[in-house]
Amino acid sequence: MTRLRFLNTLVTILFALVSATAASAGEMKIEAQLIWGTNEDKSPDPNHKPIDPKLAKRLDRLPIKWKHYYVVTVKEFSVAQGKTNKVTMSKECEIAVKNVDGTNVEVQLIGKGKPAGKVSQGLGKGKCLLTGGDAENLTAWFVLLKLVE
Amino acid sequence: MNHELELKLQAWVDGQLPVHEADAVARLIETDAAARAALTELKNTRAALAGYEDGIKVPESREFYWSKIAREIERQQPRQQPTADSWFHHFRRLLIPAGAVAALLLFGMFASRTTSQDNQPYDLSNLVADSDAFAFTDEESGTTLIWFSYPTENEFAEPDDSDIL
Repeated sequence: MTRLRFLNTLVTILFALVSATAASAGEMKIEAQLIWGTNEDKSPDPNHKPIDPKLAKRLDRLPIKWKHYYVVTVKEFSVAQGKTNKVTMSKECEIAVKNVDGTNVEVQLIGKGKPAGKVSQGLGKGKCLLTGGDAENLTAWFVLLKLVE
Repeated sequence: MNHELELKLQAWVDGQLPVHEADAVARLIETDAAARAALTELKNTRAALAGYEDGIKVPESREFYWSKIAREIERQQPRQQPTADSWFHHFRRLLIPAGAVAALLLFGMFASRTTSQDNQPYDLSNLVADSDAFAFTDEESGTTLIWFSYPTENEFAEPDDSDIL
């Protein structure tokens, strides 16, 4: 009888583990950063912090030449496979990230509640997706997406 | 002197004659000058041959000496074989570099295919569902930039009093 109980418990634990693994399979943990690019030496917002030097090096390799980049918001979120997660990056900026197949994402940029651009991209380990555009006074906005390692 | 007598003399010198025959040959040598001359010649030849054999002594033992010869014969035998089926040996000789080249080609094909598959998501046509955007990918750092060429009046880019973006 005791043996049966033990087996029952073991099977339940195994089932729970398998279910948890299956549920998390294909889930993507993503970090999103809203970045502001400017040629001004100082950001007018004291809450803005300069971007990570490694990221700055990455940006230097791209055909965008702003002198300084500041982090406005950082958000971490998870998206289950096949699901979409909407994340507010600022008052004006939202992103809707769909986990297509555990590797590829479909990103919908939303400005003031209206769709502003859609991007499909593989987001593997070590890769990052940077979307951006012009802002006022020769500045630029960027939304960076990468997997949380 | 006849041939039979010469053979007997040789056998006498070698000590191979039976006793009664050996005595007869000994008596003949004492009486016959030709027999004595033949005997002298035989002894000289034997001495010369014995001296010659002494001169070519090898430093190894007899068994080792002959085993060396046997090994050398065995070693040379496979060398002679290729003449019979040399095309096969040429083919085998070519097989190793050809295999290496084929492996390299396969690896190259696989690598280029993988790279092209990796590049596929960066294809602008698939990447951005927007004609006012362009994509740039830095393969080395794994960074893809999608730049939206919206005017600054766009809702997404328009700054707010409370928020720069």
